[in-house]
Amino acid sequence: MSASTDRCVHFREHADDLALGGPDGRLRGELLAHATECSACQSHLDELTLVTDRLLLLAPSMEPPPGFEGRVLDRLATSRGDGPDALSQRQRTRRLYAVAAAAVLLVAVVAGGALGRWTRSTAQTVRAVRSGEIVRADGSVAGRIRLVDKPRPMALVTIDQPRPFSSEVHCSLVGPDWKSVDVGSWSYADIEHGVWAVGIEASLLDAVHMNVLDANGSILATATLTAA
Amino acid sequence: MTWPGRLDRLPDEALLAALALDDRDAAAVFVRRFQRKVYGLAFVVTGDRALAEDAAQGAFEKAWRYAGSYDPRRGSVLTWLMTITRNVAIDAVRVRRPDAMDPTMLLGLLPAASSPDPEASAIDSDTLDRIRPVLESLPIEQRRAVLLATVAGRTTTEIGEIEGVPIGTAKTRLRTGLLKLAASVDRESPR
Repeated sequence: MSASTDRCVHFREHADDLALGGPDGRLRGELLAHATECSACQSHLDELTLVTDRLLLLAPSMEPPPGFEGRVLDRLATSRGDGPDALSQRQRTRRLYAVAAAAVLLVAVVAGGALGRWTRSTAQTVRAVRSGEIVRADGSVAGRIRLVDKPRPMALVTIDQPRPFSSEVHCSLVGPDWKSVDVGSWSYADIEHGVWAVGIEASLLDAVHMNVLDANGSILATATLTAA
Repeated sequence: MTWPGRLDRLPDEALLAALALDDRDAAAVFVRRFQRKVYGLAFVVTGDRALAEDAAQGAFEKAWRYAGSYDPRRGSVLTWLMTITRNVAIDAVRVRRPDAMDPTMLLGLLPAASSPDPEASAIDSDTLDRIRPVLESLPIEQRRAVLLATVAGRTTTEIGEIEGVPIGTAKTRLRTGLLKLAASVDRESPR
């Protein structure tokens, strides 16, 4: 203790309460102000706080009611002001770039077999068998394509730049026999989360090439597929 | 879009950082990782399932909102989150006081001093390992006062009512117990 002995005595009378989050108002302010001036009392408070905080860990774990996790996430979405199903532009952009850096692939299995759109709600781990960089005509890399055999055969395209192509493009896969198969098309809306997935025939899992074409059939980008 | 499989393996501090970046997948993993501890504490403090859920949700919302202010020097993420939970739950009780929990039930929810906590981090465990023997050695009335105040968030007035003793006695028990526990903590120990 320092010269302010009376203050220190006063502080220590309330230190346990202070460590537990009380008292309120002016007294709390006075006590905390003293702690900033007296290292001994600050240290005493630190020790008490350390104890009271760590003892919280002894609280029993309990399973929350069903659906708790979803309700928390909805609450966060509401607090963000974007609602449970919407994403801010900032988030969209972040996701777009995040996807491009993905080393582990995740893909949505679209309900009802209506493959063709990415959904965020049913993500599960997948296995890529072949992959390649999508390279545009100017030599820049627009993203990556991966052919996935599990949970079902599909082509997964990740794009690492916002809007690298025109509004709607077609994707075709070229097999070892150089036969080209149009597997689908995507637009901005489809790929706003940075990923586009489409179901393909299992026979296309050994494709060696992928083309991105515009509505006129002009090639905008290509990818050479190799074993993943 | 991130990678829940990877997020599951992130250390608590990294997961909290992802939460601070407003990542939804990180938020889901964060909630999943800590919900049992958070809800358990909220229930002990509130004694009411609906209020406990509301407080637990509020705690996660606060953690998300203030994730950027977390200071690892002051304790683990779990400790930080539990402190938030206690404060939110106490506030919830003050605003919407539920029916008083049966003291017997409340005391039954309090942990045994020797209870292991598999969800505590290494640094938490280190401190708890030093606190536990002292907690166990406290006279039962001091131990209960300490746990009622810290884990259950009860005031000395409430502790006096639960234990059937004057407020002054409850306060003395609490203070004496806490001082013994604090003395067991090395000032140089990591926080």
